[in-house]
Amino acid sequence: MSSAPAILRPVHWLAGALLMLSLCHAGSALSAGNGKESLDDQIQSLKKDVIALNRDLFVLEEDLLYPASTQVAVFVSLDVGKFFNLDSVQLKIDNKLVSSYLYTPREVQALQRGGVQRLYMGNLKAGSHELVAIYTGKGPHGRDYRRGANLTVEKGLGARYVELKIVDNPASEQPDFSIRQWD
Amino acid sequence: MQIGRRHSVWRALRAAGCLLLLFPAAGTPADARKPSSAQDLQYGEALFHYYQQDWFGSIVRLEVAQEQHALPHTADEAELLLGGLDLSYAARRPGSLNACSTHTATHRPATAPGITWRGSPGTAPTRRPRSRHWAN
Repeated sequence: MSSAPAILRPVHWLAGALLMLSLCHAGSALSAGNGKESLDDQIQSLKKDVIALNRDLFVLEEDLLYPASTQVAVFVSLDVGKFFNLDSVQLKIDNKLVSSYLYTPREVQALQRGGVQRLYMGNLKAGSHELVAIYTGKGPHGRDYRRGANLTVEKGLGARYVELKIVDNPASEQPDFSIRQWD
Repeated sequence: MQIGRRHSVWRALRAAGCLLLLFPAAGTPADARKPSSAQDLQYGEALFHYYQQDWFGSIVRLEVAQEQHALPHTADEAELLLGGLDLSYAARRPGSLNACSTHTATHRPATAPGITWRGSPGTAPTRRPRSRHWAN
């Protein structure tokens, strides 16, 4: 029995060395994991900062360039779009061309799925203004279409939002073009 | 005989109830399921960018709309969409969406058309094809 410790001594040394090695390895792996996690956190917070900065710049730009007292925004929406394949929209305010937009197929698809596009943003004095929208595209049976819609907009003290709506009319199998004012 | 008939009627009613529970859209008229006109323009604008896979533009517009309190009708849908987009953009941890999603699930189902959840950052934002402004 007395010789057993002497025999086991190298085994003890080996076991101790292995334990130390495994502890070192585990420690380094843990520190590497922590480092990775903190990098993820840093990237995440950086992305949050970028989004917040962009949002603030967006709001600041809107407040500075288009104050609420004169702001007018025109949006385009397309409901279904089975009878009309939108190609372009021209927008005139008080007989002055303010925007012409040519749509890509991807944008038309986004509109058909429920998206709303901000076509124009500008400033107008209080009072009544005539708004004319001219649409071009392909109608039923692939025929070329060029249609217009107009509306007299009353601009008050607050911001004015206008929606150019293109809606399918199943009864006539034709697209309907209308302009809606939002309060 | 009457008991047997009553049982069969009861069974048919139960089956119809189960079908209605499983497929709630089957009980609604076709017009109610059609995509309706935009309820909030700013939410529609965010969707316009979302459908073009412009995640960043969509996130920024949703956050702007939330800050301006411009989503009176679609606040829940916007919050849910924003949570999913944040996850996709890896700007939010998956656990942080739980409260929002459970609230929305109990409050109102998300009705944004065609929302697909992209949980992995691998679906990175792709550049949107630019449209041509030929006059301005």
